[in-house]
Amino acid sequence: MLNPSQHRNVIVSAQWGTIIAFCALTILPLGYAIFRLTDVTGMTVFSSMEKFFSDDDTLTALEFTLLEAAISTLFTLLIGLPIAWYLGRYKWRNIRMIRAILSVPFVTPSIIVAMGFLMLIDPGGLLDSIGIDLRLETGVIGDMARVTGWENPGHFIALIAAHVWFNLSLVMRFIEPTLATLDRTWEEQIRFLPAGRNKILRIKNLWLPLLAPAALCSACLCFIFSFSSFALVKWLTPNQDNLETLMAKSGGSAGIYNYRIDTSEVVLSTSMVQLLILSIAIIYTARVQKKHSTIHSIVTENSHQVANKSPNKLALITVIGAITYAVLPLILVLISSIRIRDARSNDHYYSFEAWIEAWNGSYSATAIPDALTNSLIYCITTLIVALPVGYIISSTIARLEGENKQNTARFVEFLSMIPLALSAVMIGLGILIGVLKWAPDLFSWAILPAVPHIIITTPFVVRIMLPAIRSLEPQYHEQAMLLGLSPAKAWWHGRIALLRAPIIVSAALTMAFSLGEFGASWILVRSGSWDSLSVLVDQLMGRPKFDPLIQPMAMAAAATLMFLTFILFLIAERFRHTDEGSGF
Amino acid sequence: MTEVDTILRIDVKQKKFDSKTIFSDLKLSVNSGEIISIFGPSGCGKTTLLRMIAGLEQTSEGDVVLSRDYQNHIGFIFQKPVLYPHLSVGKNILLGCKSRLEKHERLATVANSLELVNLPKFANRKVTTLSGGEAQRVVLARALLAEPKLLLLDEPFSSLDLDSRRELARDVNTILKDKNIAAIHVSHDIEEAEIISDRILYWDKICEPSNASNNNEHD
Repeated sequence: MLNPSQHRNVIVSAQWGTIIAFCALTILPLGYAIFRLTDVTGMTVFSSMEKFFSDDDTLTALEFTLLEAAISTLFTLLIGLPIAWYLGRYKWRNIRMIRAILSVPFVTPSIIVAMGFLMLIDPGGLLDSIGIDLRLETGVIGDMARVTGWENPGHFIALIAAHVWFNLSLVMRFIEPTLATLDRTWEEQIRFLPAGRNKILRIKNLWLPLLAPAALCSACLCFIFSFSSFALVKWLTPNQDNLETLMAKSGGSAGIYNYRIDTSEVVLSTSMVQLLILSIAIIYTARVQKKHSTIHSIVTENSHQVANKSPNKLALITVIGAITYAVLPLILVLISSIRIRDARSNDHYYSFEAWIEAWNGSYSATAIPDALTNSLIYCITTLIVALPVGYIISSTIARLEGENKQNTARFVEFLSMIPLALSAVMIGLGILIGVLKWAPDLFSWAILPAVPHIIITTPFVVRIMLPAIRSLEPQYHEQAMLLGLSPAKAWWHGRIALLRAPIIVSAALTMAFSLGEFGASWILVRSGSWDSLSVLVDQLMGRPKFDPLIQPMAMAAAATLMFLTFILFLIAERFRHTDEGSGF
Repeated sequence: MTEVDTILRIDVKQKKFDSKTIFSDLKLSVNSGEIISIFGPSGCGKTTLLRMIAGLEQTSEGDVVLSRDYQNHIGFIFQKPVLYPHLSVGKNILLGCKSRLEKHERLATVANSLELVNLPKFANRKVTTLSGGEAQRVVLARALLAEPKLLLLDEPFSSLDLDSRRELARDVNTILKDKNIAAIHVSHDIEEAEIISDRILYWDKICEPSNASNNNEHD
């Protein structure tokens, strides 16, 4: 039997062991990959970065990446801010449902978003029917291209629209809770003070200090997600590469001695530049997020029950428009799975043929049940590992903060966030080049594709669990111990049972993110026989569309993935605290 | 323990948090079955003292010596009632039960415990529906079910209105005397202390309070 001090030592050792194992899992494959690439190319990390800035292809990719990320962020804020304002400032019936619908895009797998927007801009599709042809760039868009000399403006606009759609919920999840809980007397008071005489002064002295950190925080995350976007760029702007698609395309032949050394150079230099930019962005985001959390907690602590007004016409139009925008691409995926082109007349008819073919695995494609089984195996494996690891990391950070070891706590938090600075493609390439080419036998390991999922989802578990663990009152655990309960029972009643909601939310989101993960899976699975649902969608869409059933089959696979994600999202939403303002 | 009657002897030279001294030279002893109240202002370190007795805090310098028979038989009632929201009132009470019971025995045990604190028929209630006074009575019932030999009460009635406070203090005194349970009660309400205890100790008489200790964290 261990005494309390020995018991504590065992727990602390287990915590550090888990953190070291997680860091090794995250950093070692990438380290191996960098080592191998430097060995193959004969370049150092620094000379590869020099090469990056002297190569036209990589520079063009960087310019495009920065441009699409910056414009996506700007438009997401411009569209998201009014929606968040109206949601937070007016009384809405079924506000939980509205919030849930507007949050759906954030958990929707990127491959489904790509498919939804492809259907939206499809020739003969909804936008084409009102004269906006973003796909073939005829009509107004073609004129725009001719007049401005801008190549493929239609594709770029579609990409920005998709990024805005994907990230809109981030703006709302950060800003709306602060707005909704703000004590109205703060506004009333400032009107009677010289600092709040007019609207501009009130914006400067009240709204900006309160909302700017939240807006900045969501802007940073929008930038990061748009910067490392893969599926959307791959499908919506096929003629242009961002850093992710450039690395992914070169990844297949990278890391092999005396073969296509140029691809190894591209992967090495691009991954280093991307790592640098994303690291800076993430460190800055963490700083802004801390500011936002402080302000949000001040606002909620001082909050009184707010009696909001009923929405006016403009608010109604804005929110209804946002809801339509949020669900439209998803409805189009569903419709496209049953809308089939007649091969002879080119008319369309509605039928479940594609669903039947996709479920039977016709046209030499993986059958949906097989891909679904693979996806479920990966996502359950991810859950089994990422949830406890995320819990242990969060508990360690909270314990260190409680022991007043703030610097160590911050360092552990930073370590847990490293995967966010590594894009999914980089993680996939790290495993492919670093581990598999070093130990090829691992290729036959059936749950290998779950490894990048674990790396990618663990930071999300930490982000969800950490605030909940920080706010746990230690007295619950102390009381359980004093009542003579066994350590396991005291841990269960004093901690785990009280963390039920964040555990369920992080479990559901972990499964949803794993199911929809595309970048790393595409790198690792495309040459294997472990197709996940997201890879199946990509494979089917990549085939020539001579047979009218191919595209609807891809949409049937996408719709299956969409249903699964929605079920998980609804579970998460049921337990999520709506006023936490954490963005997830 | 040299004297048969003395169950707890405290001689703390110093208690510090980080570099701040909370109190020093604290001397206190408690006899078997005795109920004492420690009376002192908010933030002086009373809660810290109780946490040290319970083993939740360590002394910086000095000893807290508890009779062997009393170790592992300590009950603690916190200032804010600690009830587990995922369990019903009955299941919260059963957390204090040390032996495995059959279903009918569990029902009877919960009923008896609730009867003792004047809350009959509360077994299936959700803890979130209880008032402050009811919640504290449930906590008391649970603590008593664990059969403590020493009960530590950390301003347990401070969130209640005056009448409820007096009534609960009287009930606690009756139950503790009935079961011969020693108790240390800390409070800054002298009237409550008079009702509940056999002996009142004034904080500045049992230790050297620190000027820097006026901080609610260390209450």
